[in-house]
Amino acid sequence: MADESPAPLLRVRDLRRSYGGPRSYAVLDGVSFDVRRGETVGVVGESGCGKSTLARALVRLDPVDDGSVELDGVDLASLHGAALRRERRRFQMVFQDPFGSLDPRMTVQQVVEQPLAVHGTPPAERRRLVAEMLDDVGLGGDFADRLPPALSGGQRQRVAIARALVLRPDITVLDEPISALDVSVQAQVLTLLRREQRRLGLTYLFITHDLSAAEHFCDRVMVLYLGRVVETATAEELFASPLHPYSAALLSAAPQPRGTRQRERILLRGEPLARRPEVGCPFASRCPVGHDREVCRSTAPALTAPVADAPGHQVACHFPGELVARPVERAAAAS
Amino acid sequence: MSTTTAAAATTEAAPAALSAKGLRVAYGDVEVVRGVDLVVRPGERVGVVGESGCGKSTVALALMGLLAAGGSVTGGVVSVSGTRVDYRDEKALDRMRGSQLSLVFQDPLTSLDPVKSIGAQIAEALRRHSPRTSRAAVRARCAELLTAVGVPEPERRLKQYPHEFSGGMRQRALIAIAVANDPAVLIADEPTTALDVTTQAQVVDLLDSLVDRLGVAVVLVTHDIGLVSEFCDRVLVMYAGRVVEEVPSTALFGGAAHPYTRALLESLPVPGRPRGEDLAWIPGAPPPLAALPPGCSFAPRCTWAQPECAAGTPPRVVVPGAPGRGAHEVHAAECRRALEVVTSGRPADRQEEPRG
Repeated sequence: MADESPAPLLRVRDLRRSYGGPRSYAVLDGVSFDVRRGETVGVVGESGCGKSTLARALVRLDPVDDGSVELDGVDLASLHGAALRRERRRFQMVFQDPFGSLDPRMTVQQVVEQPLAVHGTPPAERRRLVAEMLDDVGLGGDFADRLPPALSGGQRQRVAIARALVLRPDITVLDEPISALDVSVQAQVLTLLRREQRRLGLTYLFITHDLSAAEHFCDRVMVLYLGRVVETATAEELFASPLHPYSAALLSAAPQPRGTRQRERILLRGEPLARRPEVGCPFASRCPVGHDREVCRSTAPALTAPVADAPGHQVACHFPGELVARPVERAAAAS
Repeated sequence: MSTTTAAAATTEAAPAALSAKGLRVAYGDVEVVRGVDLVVRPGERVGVVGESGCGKSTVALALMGLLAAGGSVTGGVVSVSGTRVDYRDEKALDRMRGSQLSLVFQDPLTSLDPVKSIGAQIAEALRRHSPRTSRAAVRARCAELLTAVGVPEPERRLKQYPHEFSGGMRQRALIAIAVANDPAVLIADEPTTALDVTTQAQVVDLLDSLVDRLGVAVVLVTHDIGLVSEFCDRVLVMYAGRVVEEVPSTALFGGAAHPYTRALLESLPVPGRPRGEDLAWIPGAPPPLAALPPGCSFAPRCTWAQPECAAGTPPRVVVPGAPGRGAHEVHAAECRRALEVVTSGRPADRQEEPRG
């Protein structure tokens, strides 16, 4: 499958980002992945796994220490000044907090127009593009003259989406775009994002801790744990048969409406670590499969594709597929 | 409006652990809770679910007598284990908080005092209600409580401060404080919202085991309809300051009787829903509580609405239960078309409904 497709739009190799002076700690520890044009790749994981650091590093809001980010073959890390500014319109970001990410004193029109102005679109053209974009996100009419404080959370997030998409970026990084919104509004924002994707052929990197949203919205999903990719697969494969014990536990732990649960919850032992251990698998201390196994404690597993007919399903585990959430026993099955 | 459950109440034998009838709360001139009935039996798990601003947290705070300045209970009767609560009597409220009703908040960091050890904070809760207990007995009970909420090495942990605890451990410590004096009811307001999914699963599991081990009833207040429907026996759905549907969890998914509940469920990406299918959402926004529309407050956003929905207060319609359902497992919705909504089955049918 990978052979047929053209070169990936985004190619990330061995990305590293450390914080904290001399005894620094790598929040991202060698993250590699590809994103193809037109697809939606999800990045899921819990607090501290590095997913927001990844987002900021990709759009060059933060510098990276090591590794490469190539957009259409151009290494973004090598760009500076005017060249970087020119490339910037090709990658945009939507932030989590629709209250903090919009200037409260700029009208909706000004907010959405600003990126066009920065990148030198003529004023008449700008007004046309902004009006069109605002209509697309359902904020036509007099919304253009309103200020963000007069908008609801969902409306603000739609303004933020309009601001990002008005440049027709090649890749849009969505950092928890729905987690600050009410459930009924989340659905609206996801649907809007998907519709715009189909219309404009957009490519998304969708960063979230919400597994059901990732399953619904993404083509492929990458699971991050303490700064490393532990599993990556198509959304169907990952949610149907997670191979990494952490993915299995994470998927089983999400609350589900009564009557829809397919698998028993896997409760993890202990607490999440704040730092990766020096040696061994980062998940070993909480792992139901590997916590007492020598190899897991001493050797960090590499990403491999253990399933022969699914070469895109990669997992970093010494015992992939060993932990399986038990199916829920239905009332009919009880004796 | 608040007398409608009187018939149901008389069929109960033991007094409810917590009962609120026609609870009303106002901030200034604006009524934010508009006649809420909530009955919690001993050892029951009841969920209160709704979106931001629906009044669910205000109900929790009002029941505890902890409303912010400017807020007051303007109507209704609240009883705890059969005794009526007088919200003007601060001393009685002090005795009630912790020993009969307890509250766990969303944010486990700001709820704990950063300059006191965890042990001191649990001990404070114990001493408040039993001041004569010996120091040794208090210390032993503190360790016992931490063990009960699943904190390993309790002796060492008691000496630590909140910043040395992770988010999940802090929430466990708060729950330990909340159950220290064997309350009849534990109200948990978004207890897992600030936590990661795997930690959330552990905390929910803990609450579940406390109901079984201590017989404490739990009121879980949350925006997460998946979480309530999985954890709770019964669910109350709130909209614009009222309970618009009261439903046994088993009937919630697939059997919801209020168009709002149904719309909330349809907006969830649940397993099994085809990925290509777009999610439904609720058009518009909840009405401002200071300027509610006439009649049903959901009517302006409702695909089921008819002209008469805007005319009068919607009736409380009781949905006939499945055979064998307990008498107290009431399923009722404040919607004149509730029975049609229940039987409408597939969500797709809803789209063809004419708009009122």
